[in-house]
Amino acid sequence: MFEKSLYDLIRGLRANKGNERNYILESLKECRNEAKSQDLDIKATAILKLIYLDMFGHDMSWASFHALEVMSSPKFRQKRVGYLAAVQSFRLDTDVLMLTTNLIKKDLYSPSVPEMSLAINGLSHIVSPSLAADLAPDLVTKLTHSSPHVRKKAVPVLYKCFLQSPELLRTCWPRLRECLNDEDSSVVSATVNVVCELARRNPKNYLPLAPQLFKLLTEGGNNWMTIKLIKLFATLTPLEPRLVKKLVPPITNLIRTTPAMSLLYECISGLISGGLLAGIQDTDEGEELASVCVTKLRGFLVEGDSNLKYVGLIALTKLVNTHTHLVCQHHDVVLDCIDDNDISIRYRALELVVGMVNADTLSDIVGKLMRQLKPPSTQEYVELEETGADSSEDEDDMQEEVMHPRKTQRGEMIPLELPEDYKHAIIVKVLEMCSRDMYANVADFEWYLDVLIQLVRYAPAVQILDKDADDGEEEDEYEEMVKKRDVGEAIGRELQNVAIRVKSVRPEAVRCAEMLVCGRDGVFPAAGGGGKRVLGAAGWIVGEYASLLTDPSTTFDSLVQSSSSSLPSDILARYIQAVAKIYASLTGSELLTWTPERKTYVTLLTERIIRFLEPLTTSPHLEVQERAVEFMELFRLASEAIAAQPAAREEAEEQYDPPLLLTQAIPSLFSGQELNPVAPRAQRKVPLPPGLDLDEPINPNLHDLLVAADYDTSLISEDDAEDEEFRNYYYTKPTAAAPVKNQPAVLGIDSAAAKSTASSYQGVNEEDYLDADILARRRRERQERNRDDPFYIFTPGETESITDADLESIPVLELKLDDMPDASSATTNLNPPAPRRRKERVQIVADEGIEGADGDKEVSEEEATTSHRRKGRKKGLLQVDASGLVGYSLDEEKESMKNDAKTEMAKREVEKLRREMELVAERMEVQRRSAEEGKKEKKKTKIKMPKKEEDGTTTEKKKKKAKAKDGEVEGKKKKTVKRKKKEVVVAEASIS
Amino acid sequence: MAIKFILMLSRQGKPRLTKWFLPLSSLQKAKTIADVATLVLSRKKSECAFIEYQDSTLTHRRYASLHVIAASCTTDNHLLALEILHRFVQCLDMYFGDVCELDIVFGIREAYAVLDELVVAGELCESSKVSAVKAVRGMEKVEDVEEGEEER
Repeated sequence: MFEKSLYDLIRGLRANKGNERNYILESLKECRNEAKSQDLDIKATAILKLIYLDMFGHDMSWASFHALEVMSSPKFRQKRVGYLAAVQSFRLDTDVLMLTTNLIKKDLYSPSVPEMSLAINGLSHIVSPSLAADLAPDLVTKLTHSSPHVRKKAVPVLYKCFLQSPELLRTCWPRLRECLNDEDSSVVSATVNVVCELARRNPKNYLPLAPQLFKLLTEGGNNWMTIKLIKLFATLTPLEPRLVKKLVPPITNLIRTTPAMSLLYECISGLISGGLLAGIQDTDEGEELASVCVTKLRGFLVEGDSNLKYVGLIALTKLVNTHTHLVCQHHDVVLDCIDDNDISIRYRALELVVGMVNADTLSDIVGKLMRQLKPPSTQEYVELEETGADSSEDEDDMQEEVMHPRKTQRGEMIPLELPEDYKHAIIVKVLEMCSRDMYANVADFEWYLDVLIQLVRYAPAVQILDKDADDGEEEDEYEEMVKKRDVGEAIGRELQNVAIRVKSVRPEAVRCAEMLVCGRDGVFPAAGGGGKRVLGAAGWIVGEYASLLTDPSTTFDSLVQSSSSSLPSDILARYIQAVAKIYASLTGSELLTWTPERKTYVTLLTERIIRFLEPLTTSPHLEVQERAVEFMELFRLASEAIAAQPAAREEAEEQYDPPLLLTQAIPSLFSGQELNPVAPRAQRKVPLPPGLDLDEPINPNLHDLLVAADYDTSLISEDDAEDEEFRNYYYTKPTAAAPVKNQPAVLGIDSAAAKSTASSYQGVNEEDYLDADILARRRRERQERNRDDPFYIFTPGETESITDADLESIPVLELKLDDMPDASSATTNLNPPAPRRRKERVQIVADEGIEGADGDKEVSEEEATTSHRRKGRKKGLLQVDASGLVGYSLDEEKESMKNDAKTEMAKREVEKLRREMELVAERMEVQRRSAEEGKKEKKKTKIKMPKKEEDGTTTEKKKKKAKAKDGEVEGKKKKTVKRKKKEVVVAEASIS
Repeated sequence: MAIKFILMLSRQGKPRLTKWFLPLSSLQKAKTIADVATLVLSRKKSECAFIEYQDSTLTHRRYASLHVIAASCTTDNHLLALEILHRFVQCLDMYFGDVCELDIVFGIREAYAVLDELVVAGELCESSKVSAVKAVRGMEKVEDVEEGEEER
């Protein structure tokens, strides 16, 4: 039988296009047989083929024993294959791993360098804690091997051993440290790599190396090593501030002279992350160095190389927290990056600009970001490359030399499609920028409201990440996921915040909410159904500030329409509340007389509410159901009251007042104190009243009641219609409210206008990101505002409204120049202030809380703990577990100090156990005594009972019996004491 | 650790070389390769070489029909990862002489050997092309001698 070689296998694969699966399965079967062969050559070939197929996902872990056999072959060629198989397929839980120890040990001492390096390299991939412990001493001996090739390979593999069992670090460190003095530069470089990794976990241990490392840095080895050295120093400087002064000159020198971009970037990034720039921020030198860095980074951004752009933005993002003003100087180039064709770069730029905004740049930046969200008609175009358009493998293609690729023709231009995720990120970041520091940067809240409304229109479709998962899940969880993903929720929160906190624009905020609730003017995106969750906040606003509504009855109508019932349950609950609030403001006025018209109107309103609430009283969502039932009863009462109260006819003399229920009772449910924002942690500060146990159930029989209720309903036969409704509620998904039909014809117009301006990078016009109708309203408002502004020049159209003003009547103020205190001030006064956005002084209501003095601390603490917890919980697939090295000290004394604390704790534990033991013993003693006493009593009674002749013998016997019984009990108790004692002994042993 | 894995993918997303510096199961490997392929193949040449993937950064570069990808920590120097990739391809080019995809397909064992010389335990270990290639050739010499002895 003739066996296929790897070459044959690959040829065969390529010859069997379209039928690869069968071919592979057949080959696997062959390999299975060949691997069992006695001939090592055949076995090795089979393993080699398996390695190749493993790459395509055909697991070869079943062959691990065969791989081990090949590894132990005396022939180098086969050994190589064996090691390759181990490297590619062994895992920490592979069972043959423990059989490799002696094999690798033997190979480590092989006289041939290639064999040795094969073993070292193999070990680096498969090292497990036990392998590390067994083989690290042998690796350490390789650190002084005569061949630098062996030395440099042993160094990083030792690091892998440390990762597996951190105790090794203490014993191996002295020898590893000496490698920094090695005569071969590649060994030194490898050692620096390892020290750099170690220092990231626990920098304190490596501070003593600083002088030696500094020498390496100034001597100037190769760039690869210099990069690692700078990285290493960046971890050391936070612990040793004196290093900063030492490091600045050589690093500055490198920044100015190096031609290597990666080194330049590392220098800058090291300066930032090592806190060097922040450390010398206040000195002239520091300021100068920072500005050199920022200028270099600007170079990265304008260079035209997208990779440099990407890393430049990362570095600037790190810098922006400490040197905001310097970064802001370059905000032009950063803003260019926001519009980059590359989505990766856009993400980075987006992260950066959030740190850059201030009151002056906010509207520009927000405008620029929002322009990207505009629908496709104005989209940017990018060049399409012909990537893999030919899906078949091409022999010709594969022979293309990788280092000298053929020229490709330019592709056609296609529109740049922004991923929904990115749109989501933009909206979230816009909101973050604007709301930062309690709206410190927002000068014009009307603008902000318009932005919010516009953002709702741009809201991306809600994406549920794991679509298969939600099939089996309950509706509630689906809603929960939508809640998390829909930006509408965040926009709504902002809208609500503005409405509550900024009293001066509250009417506008209410108008916006009204518009959203009424759902006219295409307020929601035409497709995708995103942003709908904004309705929750909008519903609350229209209810709470019902008196400010411009058109309360229309709002009322849209709240109670039947399509509202299909909204998510929590929004619906808010709607119910809002309906009642608006009703109160519509009907609650005492001043209006109770005319028949009014009576009819109010009756109608009440009736509509009842019709709206009726189906909701059987809602499966508790919150909705409860509110619906409550208000249902209330409005039934109201409707009775209305019917009972006769209305006054106009001609009639007597006047009737409207029912008190309408004018007094219902409004008083909602009026009272104004709702103010409350700090999120204020509730915690409210002391718990004594005697209140929050864990105690209010009704201990709740469970029984529920069971009883269930039982009841099952008895009642429901009519079919209701049943159907019930089923609809449970088994059909809620559909989003009816799609908005009249989606913007205007869009075409203003997008055409935007096209011409889209290329301008400086200054963003509002036309670029706000829709036409919002713009028209803004223009109107601006006219209104500027009516009295003498510096405002009106466009011909605009003046119409004021031309009929009486020019003569405008009072002219006489300028008295003599009164001017200073000529210079006069000139400045003559220069009109920039008529651009004047900073309005807006009052923003801050959070209320109870003595918020330590609130911040608490917050930060809480955040720290949650983030810690998060870190602990979440572990990515690709994460390296180096937790063993974190905080692992090299000094044994210090370690023993730490141990002291542990001993202390353990001692306390022992003490506790001892005390428990004593308690048990005491209790036993008491029991014994009481038992004895009991016996005595028994004895006594028994003594009395028997006849006097038998006295002596019986008591004796009884006594003996009792004693025996007692002994048994005592024995048992002694056993428990012994167990306890054992525990103590064990605890003590663990201490020593 | 600097590098978590290095992949070479064909233009169709087929793996040509996979090197893992973390012990992953075969299922995890397959999923990672599929994820990386979808991310990388959709990138255009003008776009930058870095993509966020889980908690790592993928650095990728296209050489003719081959995509070479490395995954490293997000905090690492991205440009350095790019240079390591380039050095690897340079070494392959030197070893095979005007390397093309087919060379790597048929010379997968040698390609792994070159990579093992350059990167050990995820760290760049040898920055010199010449000595890396020399080491691989050294291994082959040992094999040849072995074979010669056998024939005798």
